[in-house]
Amino acid sequence: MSTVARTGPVAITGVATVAGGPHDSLETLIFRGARAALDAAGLDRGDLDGVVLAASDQTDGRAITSMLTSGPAGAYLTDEINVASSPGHALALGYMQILSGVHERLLVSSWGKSSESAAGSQPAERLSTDPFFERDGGLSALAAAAMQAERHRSGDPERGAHAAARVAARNHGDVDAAAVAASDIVASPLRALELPPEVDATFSIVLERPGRAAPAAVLAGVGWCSDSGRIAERDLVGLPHLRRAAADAYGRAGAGPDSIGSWHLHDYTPDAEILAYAPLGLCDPGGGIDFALSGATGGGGWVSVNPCGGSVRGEAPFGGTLAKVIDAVQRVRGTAGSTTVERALAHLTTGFAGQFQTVAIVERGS
Amino acid sequence: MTTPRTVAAIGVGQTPFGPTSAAPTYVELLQQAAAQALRSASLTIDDVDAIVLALAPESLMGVNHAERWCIDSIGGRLKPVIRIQTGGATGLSAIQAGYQHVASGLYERVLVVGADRVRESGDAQKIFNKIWDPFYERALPFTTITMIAMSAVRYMHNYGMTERQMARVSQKAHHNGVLNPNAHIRREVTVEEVLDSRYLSWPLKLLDACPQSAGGCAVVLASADAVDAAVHEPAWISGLSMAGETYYIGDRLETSERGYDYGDAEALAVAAERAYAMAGITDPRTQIDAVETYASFSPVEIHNAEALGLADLGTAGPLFEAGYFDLDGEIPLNPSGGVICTNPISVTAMVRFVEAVLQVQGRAGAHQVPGAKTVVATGAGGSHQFFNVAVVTSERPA
Repeated sequence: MSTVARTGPVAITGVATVAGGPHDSLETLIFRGARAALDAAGLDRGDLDGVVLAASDQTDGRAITSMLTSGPAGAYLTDEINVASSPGHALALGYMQILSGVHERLLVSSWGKSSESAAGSQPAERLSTDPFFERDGGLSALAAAAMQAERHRSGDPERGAHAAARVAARNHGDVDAAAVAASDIVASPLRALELPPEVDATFSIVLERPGRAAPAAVLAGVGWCSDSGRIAERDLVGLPHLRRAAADAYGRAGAGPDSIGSWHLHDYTPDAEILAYAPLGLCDPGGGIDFALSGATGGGGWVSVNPCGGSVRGEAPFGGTLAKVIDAVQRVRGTAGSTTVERALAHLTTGFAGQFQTVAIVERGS
Repeated sequence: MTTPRTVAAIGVGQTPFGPTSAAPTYVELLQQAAAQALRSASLTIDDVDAIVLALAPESLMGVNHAERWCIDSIGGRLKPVIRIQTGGATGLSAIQAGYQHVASGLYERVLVVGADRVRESGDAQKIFNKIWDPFYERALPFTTITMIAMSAVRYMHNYGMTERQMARVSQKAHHNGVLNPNAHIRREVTVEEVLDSRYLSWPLKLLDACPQSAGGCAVVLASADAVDAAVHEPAWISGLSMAGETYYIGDRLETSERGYDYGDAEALAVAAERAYAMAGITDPRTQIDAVETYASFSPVEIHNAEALGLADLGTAGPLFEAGYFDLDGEIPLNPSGGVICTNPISVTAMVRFVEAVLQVQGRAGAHQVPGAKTVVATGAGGSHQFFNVAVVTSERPA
């Protein structure tokens, strides 16, 4: 088994989320994000000894997208790598590169810019299904999310829908649960206001060996785990792979769920957020809907979930999940417009119905 | 400063490589390579803590983000799995990622695995034609063939390389490939046959070029603590590095501070400097016993030899002609036959690493370099853009 022992900390010295402008090329967008994170860290491109990209060829519409995108992210005669499976995995590799002592200072970068495609990211997503058994059945990212939500709510569809609407409303911040529940059904049981619209944005994080400067935050632990590629064989509700990812992250951070002051959970659907509660230790297995309806995570509740707003307000395809880490950093730094916390948890997912799960524990820097 | 944990390869696997039409499915190739690597390490998939998948352009075999599809076939369910994609360099970049899993102290044993069916979506060139910038360079037209042809022309202009020297590289590669049971192309060719083969893009001819191959490759990496002396014959990773060039080839045409230009392979030289420093190599011509270098066309092998410090800039061509880099020469280059005989793109660079492991273990069979103890493997990807270098040794690094 893996060594789930407490690891040394990795410093986070700069973060940036940059939204795409109407005239930004993909290169310009990535450059602006990398530049902003480096500025926040007080660094220049030449100070980096590594660049870790999470770049999706299918989302960018290129056969080897990192050929184009690594330069704008700061790589030139630098050690660079593209972790194409997930932004969470890129964060994990950057974390390992600093822990190993091989690298001193690197940039993790991811993005999504589907506005260049007339149909958004969904048509390309369909080509990532199993070509023999599942593609002809019409499986897509949206269909998989709907299957997961349907399964989640099947015990009591009315309560499940109510819980989902409340969570989506909280993550929107400017609509109420009734509006969510009244919005159009897009893929049953999911409604329009429960699904993130696609936006263009880039996300950049500077990781460093501790010691150069007072870090904005500390990456105390990262865990990641995968589940089956066959959707019919997965436990779409229990999420055993998220349990494993969380256990690894907690172990490496030397922390438990009781110490988390702020939870930044990937709500690609409200059900995805609710399903994450139990594996992350917020409630008992099967208790997510009750927990959501208890008021614990709402305004005035005792657990801070997605205080920066949820992905449902707009998400960059593929790269957008890295925003959860940046939200967590801003929360421990006290720049998120709410109370500062000592420790925050970021939950990242990629793939159909969250096939790849990553958990990162972020702590306040010195 | 933290010192990385030492990391060894304790198991390797390769399927026989060949044409896509005769190969198993993608997921079967992965399974076969992974099973072979695990067997050679006397392990099962349950002994593996994490997995790194090497998958280069997914459009070559037609399933987007195929890491999602193949998780079960590589034993990745409920394990940490990540996928690496750096074009042709992917196989060695995946080794780098696997190395970090172990060197960081997070994991003890990691499976690195990949496969490709390069012609699954038809001619790979049609896909590679689209890797170029659509506004400035694609229309030249740039292809993976013309980009190397242009580099070769520049190298000829700078140093007087001849097509006969290129043909000699290809003749050597084919000779070595005959000795490698896993090679895709296994037939002798003469220098004259290479010179008589049809031009793809001057000065490159058909027999100067790599094939489009299918097959799988896998490696089990482990910490020193996880090496069982009674079972394993570890090959140690003593040096490892990567460096990337600019995307736009137009930006590479001027002479750099090192004295390199587009005819050379500057980023490979940078990666080699770093890997050699990590491995304590100060004189590559005497300290390296053999090299498996990623050279998809014959002139690439010539400038790679120079970037790796095995010859001065502009001098390698005559050395190839004189047999300096032959299997029985001073520093054998590509004893396996190299990329000119086998090119399953996702794992081409990993095959270089596996061949280096086999060499230092003394298990390379008919293409064994006698007494090889320090062998270098390299990868290359993108627009001759991403370069990585691994130094593999029989001795555990200090």
